[in-house]
Amino acid sequence: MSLPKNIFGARAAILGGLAILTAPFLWTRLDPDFATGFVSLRLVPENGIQFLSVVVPAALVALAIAGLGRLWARYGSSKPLFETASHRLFESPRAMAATFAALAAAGFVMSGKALSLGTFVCIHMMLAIGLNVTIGFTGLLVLGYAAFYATGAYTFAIAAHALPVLPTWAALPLGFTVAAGVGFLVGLPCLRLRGDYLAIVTLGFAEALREILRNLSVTGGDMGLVVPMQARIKAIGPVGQGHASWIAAVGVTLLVALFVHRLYHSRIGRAWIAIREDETAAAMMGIPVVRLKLLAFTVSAGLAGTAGAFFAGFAGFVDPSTATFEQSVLILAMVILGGIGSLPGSILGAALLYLAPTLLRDWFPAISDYRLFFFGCILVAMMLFRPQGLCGSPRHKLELEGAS
Amino acid sequence: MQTPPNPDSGALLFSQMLEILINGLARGSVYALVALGYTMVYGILGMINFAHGEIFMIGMFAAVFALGAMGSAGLVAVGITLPLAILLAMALSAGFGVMNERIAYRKLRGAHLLAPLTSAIGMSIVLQNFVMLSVTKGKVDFPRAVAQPLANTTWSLGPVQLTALQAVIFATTFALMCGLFWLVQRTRLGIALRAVAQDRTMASLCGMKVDRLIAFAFALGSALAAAAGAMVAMYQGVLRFDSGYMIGLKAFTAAILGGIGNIPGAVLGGLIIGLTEDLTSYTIKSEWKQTTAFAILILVLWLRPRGLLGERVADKV
Amino acid sequence: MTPVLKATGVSKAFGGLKAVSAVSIESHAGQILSIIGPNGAGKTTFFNCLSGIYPLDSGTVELGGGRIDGLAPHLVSRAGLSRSFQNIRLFPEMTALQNVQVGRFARSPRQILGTILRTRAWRDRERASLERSEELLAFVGLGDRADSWARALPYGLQRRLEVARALATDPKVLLLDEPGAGMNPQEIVDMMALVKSIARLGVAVVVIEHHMKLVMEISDRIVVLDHGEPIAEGSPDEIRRDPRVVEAYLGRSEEPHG
Repeated sequence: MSLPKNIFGARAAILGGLAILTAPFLWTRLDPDFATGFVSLRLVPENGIQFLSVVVPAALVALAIAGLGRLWARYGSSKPLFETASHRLFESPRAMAATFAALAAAGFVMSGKALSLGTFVCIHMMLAIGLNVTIGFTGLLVLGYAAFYATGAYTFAIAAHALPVLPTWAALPLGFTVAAGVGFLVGLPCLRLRGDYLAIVTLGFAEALREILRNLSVTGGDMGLVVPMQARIKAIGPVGQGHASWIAAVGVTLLVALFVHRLYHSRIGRAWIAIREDETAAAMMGIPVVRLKLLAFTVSAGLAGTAGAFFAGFAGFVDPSTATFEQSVLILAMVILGGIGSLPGSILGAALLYLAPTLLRDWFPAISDYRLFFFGCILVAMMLFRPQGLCGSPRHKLELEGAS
Repeated sequence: MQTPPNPDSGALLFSQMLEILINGLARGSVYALVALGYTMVYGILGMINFAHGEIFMIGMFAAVFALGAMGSAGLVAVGITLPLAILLAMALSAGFGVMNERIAYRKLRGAHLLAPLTSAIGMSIVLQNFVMLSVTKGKVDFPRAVAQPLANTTWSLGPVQLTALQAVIFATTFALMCGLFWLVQRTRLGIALRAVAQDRTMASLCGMKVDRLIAFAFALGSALAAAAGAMVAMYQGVLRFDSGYMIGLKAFTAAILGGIGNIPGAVLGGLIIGLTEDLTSYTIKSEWKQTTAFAILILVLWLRPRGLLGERVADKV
Repeated sequence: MTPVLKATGVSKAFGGLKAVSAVSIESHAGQILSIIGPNGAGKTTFFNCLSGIYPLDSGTVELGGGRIDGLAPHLVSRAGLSRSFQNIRLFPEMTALQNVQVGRFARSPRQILGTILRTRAWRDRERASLERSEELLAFVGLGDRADSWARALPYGLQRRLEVARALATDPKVLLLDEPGAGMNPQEIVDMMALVKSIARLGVAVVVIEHHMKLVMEISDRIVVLDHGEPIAEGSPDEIRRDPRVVEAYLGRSEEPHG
């Protein structure tokens, strides 16, 4: 269309523009004068210096990682390493059993803190794998995924209060079924429409649900609910409560991954990918597009519900913060970072994005403030520079210019 | 429904209705301004600009910054500072809009729908948190000395009271909308924009600078959102880094209700949503605000997904 | 003999533009019916009407005695009508084999539980679908490219893959939208041989094509459209001699064609 531009010039223009536009936010401070009701503006460098002192090093680290990645792609193996490994793992029951046994046994040497951290990582792996079913396989953006997580968690907490005989394992089917049902109802009105409506509807649903959770008495309002002791994950013999949770988390995560792996490698999975690639052509192949989208969305919601119910049984409490936008964005960023449509990608993305902020918190306490900012940056940067994610094959559809 | 026991309370009800109408129209015209930005970008690029609510929020802050800068310079005459602040807010937000397009959308124009959608979400998160990190986590007050005189000046129009602030909102919105219609319908630029919306490739073959026109559409939509932001900041008196979120959701609902991609539809949708909200706020408690907004969105999508003025567009095969 | 596909008075307008008006065709098992006409004559729109992508303004479409007009595309496909697209629409991020397997979707039974548990019945059916897909790939001459990415195939092979994918739905009627577009002469000859062999399987084939020589060679019957209206129908010989056809293609004396 236009002459090849000087790339450096274009980048300089963007950086310059950003510097000018952000200047009032970074370098000034508003001083309200309560007596007169006016406000004045003062030049203050601290604000901007503090912001840049976090963002610039982070950007440099990201650039360095990207550079290493490029070197690896050029001189190292270009085979989709993770995809092959994950395929072999989930095709072999023996390899899965061995993985499970090894991870479960590792719990004996892990500290209490590591066990709890590991369990949380597993919960986020379940969530990322579940979200990937809609985003990755079917190409539908879901923004309020945490709503289904919260649905599962609250379902189990409420059910455990209502039925004191409810066993802990019931969390999984219960969380799955109720969240899947809710997902079905939310998806029904908008899945016949263009894909981007789903994004905003799920976003709105998550906010509405959080409001409902905070305002109803059955959900405990802002305080949330405590899960009765008998429904929580308990210590068994020599295995402490933390260790038992870790073993259960590893087991459930492997099951969730196997479930998704098997769906993916079946006619249903192929139909999902076909819908992502070309809806009209998929319909012409006899695929009921709306019904399969609804199925993907329902399964996805159900898996979030499973993770949520597991969380309730593990943590022993649920509160409205399970349904925050931040939680949804965290899961989304995991899927995007790991690789859209890639099962091992979701696992890797979940591990990285859950562990990194937690580990950084010790020597950089302000990280919790900057977390969401960086997640946003990850979403934009991955789409621009590596839409296939960290371990996707480098020729994902998203990257191809679809100009036809 | 109860019948009023005496004619007196009937009259009261009528004036109350008028008051709701005025408030609802003021609110609705603000939604309409924001909805125009959604609908223009959708009309041209065929995608939802998720960061639009954040541009609105940037506009709110920019207006306060502008007032602060003028205050520091000793300029305090509301008659001069307020219009100037709105204009400056529009300019800064237009800059953000263009930058947003340049970074998050341009490279992804031909890609799968998921890619620009994701980067737009990312952009929206980045903008919101940038303001949170660089300005404040808490609330910022809109300078009282600017808003109060306007809010306190009231005119009686028959049985209803109209504040000067509401008058400013109506006048500004009306002027901006007229300007936009004139621009889109009557100028060469508007014709070029419509051409790009219909067929981007053909427009570029006809020698139009498509990149610039799209950037211009973003600038225009952002400027309108900023004007709306400045006025809402004034009306509510406080602003926060997350103030754009709810307005964004509602304006989006308005754009769909009117038929997304349709400019008069956005205005109509905005007014309807604003009126509905003021009507219901008398009956529904504010703790259920988001749930109500969501219910309306679902209802619109369920009953009339193509909107009031929208047409069905067939898939090109 | 009763036709497999019978379209009667099919009309479709976009705004004021009549893209297709009152077109009727009959397509018989094992025969090749060609639809020709200048650019913009409404041929592809007609296909979109038949396959349920556009709703009809008026007219009926019957397949094997049952009405299929007004059905959604996936139901049309299930009823036994399949098609290819003018601008190839494969699933680019799937292998050639997977593309064909997608075509088997409606012909393999629903088994969600079996899928997850990988029961023996599921594995048997999955293998059957795989074998049928491999067979179809071999039939169109792609037997050795099963694991290639669809987008990585050369253009001519992509067209063949689209045909295999369409055949995977076990169609009674196959609509081919310009199967020879963009191909070199040799590829066109091969493609036409393929189309003939599909008809020999007992499928009713409807082809939109521009290469007149080939249309004349393979068609049993030909329908000519101009400005959305049928202007002639008959055997290749009849069409060749029809003055209206010549006029539609070469233009009337005062009016340029387009």
